[in-house]
Amino acid sequence: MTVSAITSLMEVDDLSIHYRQDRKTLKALDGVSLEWKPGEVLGLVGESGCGKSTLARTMLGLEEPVSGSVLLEGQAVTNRSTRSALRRKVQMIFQDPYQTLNPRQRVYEIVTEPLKVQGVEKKLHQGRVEKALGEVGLEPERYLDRYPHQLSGGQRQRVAIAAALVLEPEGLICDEPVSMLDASVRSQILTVLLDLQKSRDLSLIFITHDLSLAWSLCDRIAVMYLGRIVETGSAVDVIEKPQHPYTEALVTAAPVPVAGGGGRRELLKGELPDPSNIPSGCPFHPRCPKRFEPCDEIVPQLVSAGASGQSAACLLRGRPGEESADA
Amino acid sequence: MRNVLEIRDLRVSHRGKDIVSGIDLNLARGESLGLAGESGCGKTTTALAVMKLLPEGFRQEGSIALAPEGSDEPIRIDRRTEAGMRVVRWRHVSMVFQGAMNSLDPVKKIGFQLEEVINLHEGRSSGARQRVEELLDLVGLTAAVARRYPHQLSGGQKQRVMIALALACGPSVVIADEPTTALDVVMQAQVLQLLERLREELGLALVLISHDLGVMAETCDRIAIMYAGRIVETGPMDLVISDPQHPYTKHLLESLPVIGGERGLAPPIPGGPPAPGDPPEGCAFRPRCPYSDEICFQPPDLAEAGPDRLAACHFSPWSKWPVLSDASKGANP
Repeated sequence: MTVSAITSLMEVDDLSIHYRQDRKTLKALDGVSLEWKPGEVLGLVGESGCGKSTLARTMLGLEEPVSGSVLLEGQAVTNRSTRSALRRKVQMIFQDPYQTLNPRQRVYEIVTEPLKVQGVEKKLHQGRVEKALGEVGLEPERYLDRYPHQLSGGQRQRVAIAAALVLEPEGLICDEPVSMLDASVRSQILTVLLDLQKSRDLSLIFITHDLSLAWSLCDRIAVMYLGRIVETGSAVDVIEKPQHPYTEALVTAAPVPVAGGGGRRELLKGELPDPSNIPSGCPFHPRCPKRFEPCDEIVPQLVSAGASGQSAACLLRGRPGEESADA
Repeated sequence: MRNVLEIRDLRVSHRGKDIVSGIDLNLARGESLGLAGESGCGKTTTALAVMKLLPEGFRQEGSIALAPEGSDEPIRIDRRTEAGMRVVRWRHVSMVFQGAMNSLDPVKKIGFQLEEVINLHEGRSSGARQRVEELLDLVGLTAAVARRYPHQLSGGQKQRVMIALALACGPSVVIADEPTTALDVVMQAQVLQLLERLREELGLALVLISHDLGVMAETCDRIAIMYAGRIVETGPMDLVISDPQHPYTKHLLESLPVIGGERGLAPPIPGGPPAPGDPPEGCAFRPRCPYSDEICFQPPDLAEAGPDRLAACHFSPWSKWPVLSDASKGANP
């Protein structure tokens, strides 16, 4: 980074997304603030429906927030020109490489498309496409003329990454990029992404429901529940010493590939409540094993808890004398 | 027969190519066996052969014997005709199909779909409704679910309905093909706990098919790892994961992120598994194996690699894994 004044690649501030549904309001995001630093690998973790994909889509300007702001390098993304800058600087890849690639386009056309959209000079296309394919480990001469159906799942995901990289973005948001892939292909794709992060100083966001993946890849993570961030901090701190009972439950649920497995463990009961009918007080209280008197009334705010830089939205935290609640 | 299911020298071929071959598997009563491997390795094909549900054009050979509780003579599935299989399937062995939760009929209520199965296989209509309630209760759903349509259920709830369907006729063996793959971690853990509880309560024997060794470690007593249509390693779960005896197993384990374990990624093995029916000559894993040598051009036998353990590797038992230099990592693309 040459410009030292910029401390964040992107930032969202008090972001809310509400949908109207059958005269009810569905709060997909509710007052989310988050910082994504340059070169950082940030994990967004939570169950299906917690709002992690909505947050990513909003950061890219694909959803219109009802309140709050999205900042790119300190500048609010509000009009067409800032939005266009955003698209050049931040790209996204999705979970299912079988659905994201146009089956009628060849690899060359797929990877060239973003260049056309951004009006990059035509004579530069071939070189940029070949470079991007090379970076994801696909030899251009073998793959340029293939159609998606001629590629394996892992190769398709590589093409999707190449198409995201061709504009040489500074940030890449990966929405469950490997959850549909097999074990050996999975580690290949993750290695490609982490190598790019190092070689290009690319900032990454990993959206995943799997805390063990976040553990091995992320510098920092944000745990989401029902449209809110309930805990954030360094990946090691949050996973080793979770400060929110929900994070603790996610850690417990992660599969343990050692003899005997997780043993007899207490699992979270029930499922994520209907987001159009969020429980009062702390949204997690109906499923929380540690709830107490005021949890159904007071909405907890994110406060510093645990290690430095770690914070949690739980009434058990941030009050002196009550920190011994860890099991 | 001591085991509830015994498979001997199973071979499945398609257009003259072996998709799966030389499969020997035993399943003891009440045991859970994991069948692991990547897409195209033959795990689902093996399961479908046991159900005799392979699509047209596939040929299966080898013996498959099923000995449900209280039967005098084992049922030889391989000798059964389609009509004969109809009284075996679902009553003695049933299967939760991969992605099956999306195959519930979207315009029929859950209760109707469960009743339909019961009536079809048990041929009785009175009591079916009560059986539906029992089944839903068994898999941890409320009776109200019977009145709902599939779109009103979450993924986890639908998967529970599919498990209820598999249990509808009281089988001794249930084969679950990737039952948790589409679910997130919390639901996944809940469904695994459910299968574990059912195994204990009903004395079921379970075959769990997955590509995720983490999932298996928690639920299975024994594991068989498949690669390119063959079993490459088998043994008790805890021994296999603590001390793998095949380079492929070792690689699968290393690629698994573990909380509290080392952060970062293990070096990936290049390439992908071979196309079904088209394995490379000799050991099928040779082209991707960082430890391969001249001898690996000869096909290895599945041989003893320790007490109650088998591995198909010329170098097993491995007492110590050689340290790989950077140059040799992925040297055989």
